[in-house]
Formats: sequence, structure tokens, C-alpha cells
Amino acid sequence: MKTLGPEGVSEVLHTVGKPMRRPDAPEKVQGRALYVDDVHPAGMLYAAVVRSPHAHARIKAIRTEKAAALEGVWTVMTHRDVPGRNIIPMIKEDWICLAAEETHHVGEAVALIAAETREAAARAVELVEVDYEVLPAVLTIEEGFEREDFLAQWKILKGDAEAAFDDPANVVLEEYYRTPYQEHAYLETNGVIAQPDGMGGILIQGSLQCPHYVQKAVATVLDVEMARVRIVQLTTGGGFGGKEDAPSVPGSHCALLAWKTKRPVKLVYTREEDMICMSKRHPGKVRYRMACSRDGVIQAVDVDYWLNGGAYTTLSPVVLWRGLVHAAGPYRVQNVRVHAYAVRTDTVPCGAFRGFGEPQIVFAIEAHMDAMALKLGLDPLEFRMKNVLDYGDETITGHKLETSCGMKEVVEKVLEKAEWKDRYPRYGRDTGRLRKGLGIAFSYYGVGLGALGKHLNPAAANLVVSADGSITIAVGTTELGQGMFTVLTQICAEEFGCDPRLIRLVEPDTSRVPDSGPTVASRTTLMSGNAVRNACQQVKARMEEHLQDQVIPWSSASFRPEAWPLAVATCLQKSVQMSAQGWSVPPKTTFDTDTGQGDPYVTYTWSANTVEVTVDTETGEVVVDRLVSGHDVGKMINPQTGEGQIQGGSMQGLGYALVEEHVLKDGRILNNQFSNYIIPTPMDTPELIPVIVEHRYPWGPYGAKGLGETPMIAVAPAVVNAIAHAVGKHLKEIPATPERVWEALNA
Amino acid sequence: MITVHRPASSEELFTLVATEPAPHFYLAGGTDLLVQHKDGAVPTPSTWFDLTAIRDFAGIRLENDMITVGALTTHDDLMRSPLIRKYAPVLVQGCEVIGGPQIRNRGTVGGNLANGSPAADTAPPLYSLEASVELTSRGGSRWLPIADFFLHVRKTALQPGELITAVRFPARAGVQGGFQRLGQRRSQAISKVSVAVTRASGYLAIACGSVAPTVIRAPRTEAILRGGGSLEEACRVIQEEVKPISDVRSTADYRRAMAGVLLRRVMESLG
Amino acid sequence: MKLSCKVNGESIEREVDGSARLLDTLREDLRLTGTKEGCGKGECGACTIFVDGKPVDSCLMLTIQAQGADIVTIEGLMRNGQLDAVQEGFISEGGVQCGFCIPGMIMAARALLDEFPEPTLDQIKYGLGGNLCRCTGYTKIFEAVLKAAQMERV
Repeated sequence: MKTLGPEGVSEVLHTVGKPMRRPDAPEKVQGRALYVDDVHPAGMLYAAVVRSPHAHARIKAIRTEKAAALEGVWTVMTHRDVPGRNIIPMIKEDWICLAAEETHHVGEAVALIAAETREAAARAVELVEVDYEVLPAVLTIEEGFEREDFLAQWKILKGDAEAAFDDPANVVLEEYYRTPYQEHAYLETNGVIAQPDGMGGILIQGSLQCPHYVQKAVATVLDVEMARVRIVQLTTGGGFGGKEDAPSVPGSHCALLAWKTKRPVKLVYTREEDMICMSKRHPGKVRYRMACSRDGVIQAVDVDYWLNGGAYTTLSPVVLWRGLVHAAGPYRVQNVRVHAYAVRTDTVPCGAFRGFGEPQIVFAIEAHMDAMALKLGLDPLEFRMKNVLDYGDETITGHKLETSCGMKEVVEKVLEKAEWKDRYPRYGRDTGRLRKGLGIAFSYYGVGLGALGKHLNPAAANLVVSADGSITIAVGTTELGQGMFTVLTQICAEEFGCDPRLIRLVEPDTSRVPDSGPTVASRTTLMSGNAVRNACQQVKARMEEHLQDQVIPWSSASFRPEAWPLAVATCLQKSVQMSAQGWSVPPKTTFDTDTGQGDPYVTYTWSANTVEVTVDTETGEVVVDRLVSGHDVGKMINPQTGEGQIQGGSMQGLGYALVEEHVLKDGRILNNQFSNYIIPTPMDTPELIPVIVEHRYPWGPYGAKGLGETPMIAVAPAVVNAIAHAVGKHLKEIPATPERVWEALNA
Repeated sequence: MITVHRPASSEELFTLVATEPAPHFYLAGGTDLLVQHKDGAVPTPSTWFDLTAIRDFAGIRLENDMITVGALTTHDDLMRSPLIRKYAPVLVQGCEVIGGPQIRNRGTVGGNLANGSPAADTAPPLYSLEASVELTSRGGSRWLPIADFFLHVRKTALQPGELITAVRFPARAGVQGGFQRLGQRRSQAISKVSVAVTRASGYLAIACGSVAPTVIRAPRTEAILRGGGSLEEACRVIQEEVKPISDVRSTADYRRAMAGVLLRRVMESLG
Repeated sequence: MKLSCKVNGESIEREVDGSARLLDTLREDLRLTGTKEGCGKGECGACTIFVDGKPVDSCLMLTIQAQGADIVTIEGLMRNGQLDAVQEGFISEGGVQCGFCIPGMIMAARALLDEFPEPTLDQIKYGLGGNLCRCTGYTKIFEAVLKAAQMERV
């Protein structure tokens, strides 16, 4: 396969871009992969957590004697028993490990138990007596905003937005939009096993997205050096952001219990516990005001963006910042005013979730684009295309797009698959009970951590070639199911020109690789991919030097996998170092906090999706018939895992659009299980059609950017736009439940 | 702590019931009881009797123009039974939307009723069939019309020492039936409103689920349709007969309106 | 209690806690950890096994109820060292991501193919209606089942 490289050079690829079976699939289909609850170290104790039933309360007393006296209970621990600092360090140091004076959300941990059986641990929880003085709780964005209690605040100020709004020649539209909590609903709940390693250190194994975060948290609460804390990721049953920051809490709790009892301790959350106290997508509220010339050119946007951050800062500043940077969508806008606020409330801390602050604001932007088009009397697609970013344009932060900006091609291909030209004019005309509609939404996604997470940007890969030519690779990022092992295997096989079956990715382990930043932000293919490539290139350069006078039909330029083992054996005989640590540091990013200007991300993934719906006007039920989801990913390393990311992300987007939300009363989540927190089932699945566009990004491995998050981001607005097309009602709040649609129809 | 017994016959069961300490719980498919147990809603210590080995409580038979269904009959058994498909199509449709295959393979008709939920998807169909429920204790059995069995949310006419052993309803010639419900998704969903109708020569019964503390009949609506009144009128009146609430799954207004919509759909499906 | 039953083709007799859930007995006493717990309430299907040929949620059965039963778990699906066609289909079609739902999903898929060897898409969706997956968007799982059906026809 010949593809045009970033510099216009033709490059022949043999493994990258080709189908390859997932290396982790055979063990998983046989039930052999080991998840945390499948591991039982000898002498293991079970942990349980005493949790606050109140949103905000003063803790007057904690009495643990009865619980501690229960047979089988080894220890009951409170904040007084934390040897180190009683915090979970994240962006700020306000996150409490075990509540001391006050509790600030329902489900906050107050005491920890380790016992010989699950039953004894559960009974001990009931016996811990906590005297609370219930205090008034701040629960909503509005209350928190009123109190000016912010976890973070950001702004973008560019051009002269007010002048554009004052210009009578412009059409102005202002609306408020709301989005709900969303639960990650990974099928495996959070869980860890902690055990002293007998050498003065502690080993933590678990269902983790970011082992190095947990390492820092455990070292902090135990007051030991990070080198004494070894974190190993086990096969992990889904993350989606929910195992980025959050596992530092069970990780620290379990470490405290193991440190105290000197025994292995397992803490696996029940589904209810996981839903009550683990992070979620922030509920969002957006005021969106836009000024357009009558011919449909956006003149200015003025946006207020609020997120309900919950009780502690966790990752809210960066979640909020990503939303801010993308606050005008993939459109040219010269005059911009955006204010973004993460509000502190006495509710469960929200954190990372696929899309990371974009889905909330993109819902507002893209619903607003349709509403604005209607007001202007323009076709919504035509209105978008008039303003869409292209090569040479600047984003609202002033980032000039010089490479890999395939937005227009994405739209073209998505429209073709959606049969937009044929279907759009036909739909939206039904008058009967069932009405069809077609909706579209665009988005773009800055790949990687960006300017705000610079210090976490580099990534490493340790690579060892064994005597038989097989290759062991350890990276600092994690396999969560997204396909990292597959993609990195293909990259290594491509570099060496070897059989991919010789390559083995091993489980991430903080003792084996340097901190490589979190496995988030669609950065893994880019960052770990480049690190693996860099390691391969170091080894390859040494091999070529030593093999130049040999008659071995292997070179990095030729593709002769059968010659690889001989080449390896020859090099090892000559004492060539057949191992390396690859390192990748991305290009510079910038952000000026006063103006919001800079090049905040290294590059962007460009996306568009269409949704075709049938609305039942009697019941308000919305059936999604078809979804086409297109993305400029730079270069697709593995088409099958890429499609899987698109379909999975699309389905999470449909859940967000149609059914998923948490219902709270006094800060307590009422729907905390799969029978009432509803996620889509196989029977709710429409035709999901992936579209791939490849405008290669020069710094990415083979031109690749990132894909993990973007498929979920613009689904919800496409759904409400399709509903509006079908029945003429523009919803400003999701999920678009039958009740909401029915109320809109009968208003 | 729970103590579980697995009697092989009804005699053995009632002997154990007489001797083992209360509180007693009867376990069949476990699709409700084990969920409640996990939620900590089942008192402990307690004594559980697993009924699934007792053959007397299983089976579907036609006798004296009555269909009798053993309490241990699963939703899947009901869906596949030729007798049920012929004499209670409404019940087949109710069973088809329960949970997913795994739940339908374990959940039983007796358990679905004993749980006392107005959202139980076999209950409106059985109301529309004017079924009776057999309640058995050591002292013997009694048959109760299903409408007298349900008292309130999670409250039934079961007395201590009694359990449901069978359900029966008349085998009506040429019977038609339809069941429609709305859930939050298309499988693994709990009904937020449902309507069941059974119609035969000289017979029409309508029942609604999830719109009151128990499943309810809609007598005024039935009277309109029996008297040859318009479907439009019936769909309006049924909305007055239901008494729904707003909860985590839906709103009262929506449920009320949907009772009318679903009634029309069921009636239209019957032709 | 003494549990006598058949697990993955082998007769077993073992002292277990009869009031335990069958899921726990399988995972903890018999060390068959391929069967997963995603919710413990019959909502997600991750713990699906066969009992007497029918797919059920093992989190909703007590061990005592498995007395005399013929149980098959994901570990018992291979025959003569060969993967089942459903397992092959999940590998080749990319039906697996995180993998946590997969053992249960494969058992449900095996059951639906046993009933409908040439299933329609609607039959597949109905047959898998008791299983949740959060990674894949189900599409490649449907393709995996279709692929397995096709492999079994030839």
C-alpha cells in the first residue's frame, strides 16, 4: 500500500494501516484475562468503606470500637490513622483522602475496614458510628456561581465582540443549554489489591487508567518515597476517563489498609458504590450568544460556560479548559468572548470522561448553529460550511492551521454515506405519527494534553529484543480495551519489518517505565506510538551499522520478516545492544491566560456526524435509525480498532443524547444501578457507520493523530437537530427522553 | 445469615415451613429476591426455601376449560407454550418484553406476582385474563382473584406460611389479546406504563401497569368499548381511570397520556 | 452443603456454602474466574453461564439451586482444544475491546445461535438483549455472531 507522507513523499507500509487481530482478544474470549477481582493473593483481606450519607456535614465524632471488635475485622482506620498527608494530590491539593472535620459529598469516605471476609467487612461498616451535624449544602451550578466558589476560571478574549453584537446589520441569537451528569458505566467497577512487598515497599495492582497518578497518591498518604510504591495495571474492564483520576481514591484507601495490616487487601467496588462516589461527566450549562451577518458569516460569539465540578478540584480545571478552547466549534470567528467557570458544590467530584469538557459545550454550539441557521433562513449545512475552518485559517485562540485539517473532506464523505442530498430534503416533511429527521453536527478535538498539561506530555517505551527475535515492549500508558496493544504492536512490526506475532506488550508497571503521562486525551497512539518508534529506531540504527558487511537479507528499508530472527541473532553475537528506551516529547504548545490566545494543542482531529431519527409524535420516543460518524485521524494504524472506537463512542453519545442522566435529591444520587441508570442495550443499537479521513500529521507516527474521544462529542447535538428537523422542536436540554420530547410537542 | 432449604416435594416444604424459624422467604428464579438481598432489603437472619426442585409447582395444563400454570413456570416456558400462545396471547406478549433471555429463563410467573410490583409485566395480562392465584399453606389451598391478590406496592394477600403455587384462567374460545408497554429502553427495562387487553366473544378486559400502586382494571373504559362506544372516547376515559405518579423513571402526566395511546395501539392491533 | 453437579463436562462433588451465589462458588471455590460480575443484579449479563443448556445470570442463582445441574461456563466452551466458532468470530470481527462483558456476551451469543443457526440481525439483538457492553457500540459484536453462524454453516 502506498500512501502519501506528510512531506508528499511516498511511503510503503506493510503492517500499519492493515488489518491485524487484537493480541489480547484470544485470552479475553476464553475468560482467561485476569482482571483485579480474578486475583486472590494468599492471606488476602477484604476492604470496605464507611461513607457519608450527607452532602455537607460536620463530623462530630467517629466511634470505631464496635466495628473493630467484630470477629474477622483486622483494622478500622480513620483520618487519624493516615501516616502521611491526608490528601489525594491532583491538580490542587484539596481532595481529602478520609474525611476529617467535614464531609462534602454523599459517599465521601469516612472510615476504612479490612476484614477476613466480605461479609465481616460489610457488617463492620454498619457498626462504625459517626455523629454528623448536617450543614446546608450547595448543590447546583447556580448556587455555587452565586457564591463565587470556583474550582477554576478561564477566558478567551479576542477582537471586539461587543461591536459585532451592537452592529444592527447583524442577526443575534442567544440561548441557554443544559447537559446532565453522565456515568462512565465501564462494565468492570473500580478495584485494587494492595500488598506490602516484603522489601519495604508496596505493590498495588488494579483496574487503572493512569498508574503513575496512583503512585503519587499512595506515596503521599503513606509518607514514603515514590520508588517504594509500585503500581501495576491489570487487565482493565473499560475506563473512558473514569479510571484516570478516580482510582487514586480506592488505591490510597487500600494501600492504607495493607500498610497497617501487613496483609494483601482487596477493594472492589459494588456497582452502586461506584456510581455513588466515583467521578462522572460534569453537568454543564451554557449561555450561547452569536452574531451573524445576514448572509450567514459568524461575526462574534459571547459564551458563558459553567460546569458543576463537585466537592474537590480533581481535574476540573483542565476539563473546563478544553471546553473553553473549543468554545466556538470548528468555525472561523474573529470576535470572541468566552468565560468558563468550574463551580464547587457539595456533590460527588466530577472528572475525566471521554470528550473531557467538550461534549457539554459542543451540544450548545451545534444546537445553536441549527437554531441560528433557522433564524437566518439558511440551510444548517450550508451555514456551517460557510464558516468551517480550513487550512490557513485560525482558531479562536489564534492557532493557525497549517497541517492536517481535513474537515471539509470529512464532511463530504459523511454526507455521502448519510445520503444527505437525497434524504435531507425528503425528511422533515412528514405529518403523520412517525416523522423522520436528519441532523448533523461538527466538532474538532485538540489531540493530547495541550498547553495546560505540558509537564505530563512526554512518553516512554522500553523495548527489549530477545535472542529468538521476539520483542518485549513496556510503555507507561495503558490498554483499556481501546486497542493500544494492537496499535503499538503494528508500529513496532512496521519499524522492524518483523512478524507482529513476535511482539509482546506487557502490562504497565511504574517500576518498569518512566511516568508517561495519563492514558487520556486521545494521546496514546501519538505519544506512546512515537516513543515505540523512537525505541525501534535506536535499535535499528545499531543493527544496520553492524549488519552492513553481512549478507543478511534484512534491512529497515526492505520488508523481509523471515530474515529478522537471523539479523537479531547476528547482532546479539556481536554484542549489539538490542534494547532501548524510546522517548517522545511533543512540539511546543502555548496559552496566554489573560487573552486565551496561543497554540493550545499540537494538532486537532476533525469530526462530523449525522444522525437519522424517527420520532413517534404520540409517545415522544426517538428511534435512531442510522448514524454516520467521520473523523480525520491523520493516519489509521488499525482500521478495525479504529472503527470500534468510532462505534463505541457513538453509542456512548447516543446514551448521553437520549437516556442517560443522574437524578439527585439533596445531593444523593437516586439512580445508582444499571436498572435505573440506563445505558443502551444491543436492542437500542442503530446502524453505526464509521468514516475515516487521513490528512497526515507530520509529527504523528505515520501521520497519526488521535481518535479515542472524538466520536462521542458531537452525537447529542446531531440527535436534537434531527429531532428538530423531524418535528420542528429544538430541545435545549438532554437527554431527549420521550417525556421531554412529548412535553415539547404538547407545549 | 440466610439458611436455605431445598425441599423436593410440597410435603417436605410445608414440614420445613412449620419447623424452621421465621422470617421465611420463598426462592424461585431469584430475579427479584436475590436483587433485594443484595440491596440489604431482605432481613437476616432468615430462612429461605428454594422451590425449584418441587415438581408439583411446575407445568401448564388445560383442564375443565381452565388453563392452570404452575407457579414455577418461567417467562420463557410461557412464551413457548402452545397452550399459552393459543389461550393467552396477551401473556406471551407480556413475557416477551421482560428483562433479557437470562431473566426470562429464570424468572417465574409466581415470583413475578409475589414480588408485588405494579410494573410486573405478567400482571396486567393476567388481570385482563381475570386470572386467579392459588395460595397454598400447610393447611391447604385457596384461590383468590388476581385483583384481590395485589393490595398495594409490594403488599399482597399472602399470609405468613402461604406461597403462590399456581395461576389459572378460563380457556376462552377465539381469544385475542394484546400487551403494549413503554420502558426506558428496548430490553432490560422496567415498564413505566403498560396496557393489556383480552377480548373474546362476550368478553373484554383492560388492565394497566405502572400507573397506580397496583395493576388496575379500567372498568369505565371497558364499559365504553363493550357498549360499542368509540375507541377515541375509551382512550380519553382510561386517562381518567389511571392514577400515576412521577418518579425516577417517568412523569405522572406522561404516564396518564400514554395509557390512552397504548390502549389505542393495543385495540388497533386486535383489529 | 455437598454440591454434586456437572461443570464444563466434568462431574464434581464438593463441599460449598449452599447459600452462596452460584457466581461466587464458580469464581471463588472452583476458580472459574472467566465468569464476571458487572452488577450482581441481573442487569448486565456479564455473569451469564449455561444451566441445563439455557443461558442464565449466575449472580441470581444460589449454589444450592445448581444441585444436579449441567453447568457450562466460558471456560468450558472450547472443544478438543479448538475455540468455539463464537469465540473465533469475536476475535476476527473485532468484537472484543476491554473484554469484561465478553465471556457473558459469548455465552448469550452461543445460546442464540443454538436456537437460530442463521439468525437475523433482530434475532441477534433480542438474543443479546440481556447483556450490556460499554466499549464496542455492539456493532462488531453483531458482526461476530453473524461470522460465527457463517463459519458453522460451512
